[in-house]
Amino acid sequence: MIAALICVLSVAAFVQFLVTYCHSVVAAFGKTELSARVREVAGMGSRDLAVDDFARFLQLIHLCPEHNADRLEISAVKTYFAFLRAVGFVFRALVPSVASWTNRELLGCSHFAAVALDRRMEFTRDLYARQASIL
Amino acid sequence: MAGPTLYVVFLVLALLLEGAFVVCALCKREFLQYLPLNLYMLLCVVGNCGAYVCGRTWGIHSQEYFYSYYSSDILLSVLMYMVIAGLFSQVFEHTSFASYVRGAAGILFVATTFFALLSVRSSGQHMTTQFVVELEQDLNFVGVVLMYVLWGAVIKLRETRIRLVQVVLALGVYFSAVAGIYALRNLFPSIEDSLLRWMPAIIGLWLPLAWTYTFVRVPEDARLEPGHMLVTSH
Repeated sequence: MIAALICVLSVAAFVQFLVTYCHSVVAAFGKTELSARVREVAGMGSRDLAVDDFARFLQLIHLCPEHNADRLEISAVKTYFAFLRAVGFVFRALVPSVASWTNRELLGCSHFAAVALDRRMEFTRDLYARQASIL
Repeated sequence: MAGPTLYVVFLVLALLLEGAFVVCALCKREFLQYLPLNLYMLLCVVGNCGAYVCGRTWGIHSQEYFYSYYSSDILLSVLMYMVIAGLFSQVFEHTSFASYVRGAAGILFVATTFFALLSVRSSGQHMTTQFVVELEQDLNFVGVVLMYVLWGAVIKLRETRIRLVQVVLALGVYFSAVAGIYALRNLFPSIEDSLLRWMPAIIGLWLPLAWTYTFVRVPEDARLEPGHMLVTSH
């Protein structure tokens, strides 16, 4: 009986801690302003960031040369994004507050992807500059 | 049952990640600043090396290996309470409760050490799988409760230091996962020889991985926007 109770409580705590951890990873990028270069490349113009931009940012990230330093966190946020999408889909009709929370989180993921893209572009530019100086 | 190859893979991965954490702390000159975390990781390295030597000498299915593995794991769980106490004092450092927290952490550490040592000693040569599974389940569940209390304090005190927040949350993930797995093993002893047996070792990789990520990628002075970070507060 006690083991069953511990098991249920631990699983609930695990989900909550893991979601909050992912949130903290994404939120750490919240203060970073999006550069004009990223807005231009993603074709955003002056409009606000949208949830659907996440996929486009990821495609653009994959066009840039691989950068080992951010590969793990991009994969983690991609998984978190898919999880949020699923939660949002399930709870959209049942609990509107959860749906609005997932929407905020999804926006955070888009912002994270935009910042990651900006960093990759910066890295690529440095790479080309170094190559050019060698040649 | 998973064989020695899988065991060596987990051991090497754990050693690499734990070593990477300590090396990062040394390179960034933050070893002393985060002493409990670094000491814990160093002792994990020692524990893993000891487990490797025992496994090689007596085999990973021997009684000697079983005893040394779980004894060191239980002692590391106790040491983890020291890490939690350190995190509590960091969260409460600017409040009037700081001295009480230190006192409570000291009492908790002594009480847990006493309880664990007494349990291991009383079991003596009769240390059974059922006994260690229950003890690990209880020790880790106390860890989950403590992490909830600490997380509550982080929310209440509007803590914004990203490093501290991520270290606390990673520890919460670790404790809840391990407590859940041991509870499952306790509930269903018949599936003891399945993947569940190796799950604590797999989950053990999470902590050095998450902490190394935090210390490499998040600068010491990085802050979250107040009120932005908490899933539970929405």
